[in-house]
Amino acid sequence: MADHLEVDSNGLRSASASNDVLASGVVVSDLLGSQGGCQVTVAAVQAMHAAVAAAHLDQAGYLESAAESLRSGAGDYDDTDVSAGRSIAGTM
Amino acid sequence: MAAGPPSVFLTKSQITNWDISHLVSGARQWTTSISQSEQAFSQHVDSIKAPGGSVWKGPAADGAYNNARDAQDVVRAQTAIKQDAVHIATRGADDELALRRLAVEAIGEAEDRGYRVAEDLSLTDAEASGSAAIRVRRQAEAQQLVELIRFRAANLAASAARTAEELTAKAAELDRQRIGRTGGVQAVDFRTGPGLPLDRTDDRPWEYNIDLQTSQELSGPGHPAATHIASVDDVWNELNRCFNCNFPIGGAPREFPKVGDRIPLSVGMGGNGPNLPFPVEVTQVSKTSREINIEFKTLPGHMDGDDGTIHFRFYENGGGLHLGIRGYIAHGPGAIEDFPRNLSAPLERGGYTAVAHSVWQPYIERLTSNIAAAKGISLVQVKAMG
Repeated sequence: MADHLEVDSNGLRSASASNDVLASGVVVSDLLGSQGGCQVTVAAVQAMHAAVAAAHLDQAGYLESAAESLRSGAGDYDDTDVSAGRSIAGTM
Repeated sequence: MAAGPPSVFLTKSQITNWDISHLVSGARQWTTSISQSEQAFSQHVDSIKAPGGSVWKGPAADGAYNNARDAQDVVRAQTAIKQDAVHIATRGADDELALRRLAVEAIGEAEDRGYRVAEDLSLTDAEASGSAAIRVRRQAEAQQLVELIRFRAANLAASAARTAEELTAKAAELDRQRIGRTGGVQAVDFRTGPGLPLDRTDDRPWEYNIDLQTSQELSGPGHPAATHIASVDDVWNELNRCFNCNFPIGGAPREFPKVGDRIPLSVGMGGNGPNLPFPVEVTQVSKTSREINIEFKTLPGHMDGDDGTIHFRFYENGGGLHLGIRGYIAHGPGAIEDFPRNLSAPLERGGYTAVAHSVWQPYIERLTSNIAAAKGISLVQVKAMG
């Protein structure tokens, strides 16, 4: 397995930061417009706006979670690398 | 348009001030949303494939990549739904613009011919003078113009109701698509084909009840109301003489239908789209000396949804003829409680009641006109058709 493992923890941190930017980009804050009126389509458009906004929040939540996983993974790789290095040094 | 509950029918000012900007801006915003989401998740997949441009290999890399692709699949399914909504809103805006123009033209035609069109779309003859023959001709002309205005207003309301129904269904479909928040993907209801039927178990049936009388008046001193000239027996005879001469929706037969008959009722949209379907089955036809009862069951494809009923009751009260109509909607507009349809249900109920007024008022007007003609009675004025 060892020869299949290749990682750059700084790359993961970079990807994590990119995901944070992506997450902020998919949050749409102005979808719920201020349309008034009594036409039946006004409520329907607002319902669609609400569903789109909810989908964007869901997407942002996923991207933020992925960013956190990448940050955490980068730290774990570093810790494992350091720990493994010490173990190897200790046995030599 | 001012905020507030819908009126029971479209008014003249509602038609002239009809607004489609929310549909246009909605379509534009959802298009932007599609672009944002697609771009973000395309970048996310690329980023997982090569984090920061580096090489990442191993089981964790494979798992993260597969997870990202699964999430991207859900986003693509969301995109398909949003694209449908864009199409529905755009088409709805175009249709409503065309139908509003037709309704406004009908109002303008009536005004050009010397009638005043009131807020409730009733007509008053601004040139109420001349011989009896001229007044009879004007009355007939006014009757036709009122029916044209009402019909086009009803088409506008029906088109808006259809757009609202389709958009809220798409909102519900989109709401069922979810990506997991902790790395796992929860494609709650992933599919690429046609939408699944809505869960009907939570539907909340409702009904509207309207009571109509003719608004026509008799010639002679004081223009007494024409409502007393027609009896229940007269209505029965007239409907048996020619059912579809009086029934105001297309597709009705000339012969009086009997229980079990299926009638492919529909409202024509002319060049503005396919006919709106209203298929029904006759479930009751009965007459006593005091009333006539006719009931239709709505069939699949009906704008009201299936398993509904429309009950017509002709009866006499206070010396006048009444047409009572009870519409029971089980699974159609205004009855669906799944989020987000529950948000628009009150407006849908108001919209459908408005359409019912517009559609059925001509029923009693035509009956009254035809019964009056058979009896040689002149009706000279059309007023307050709502």
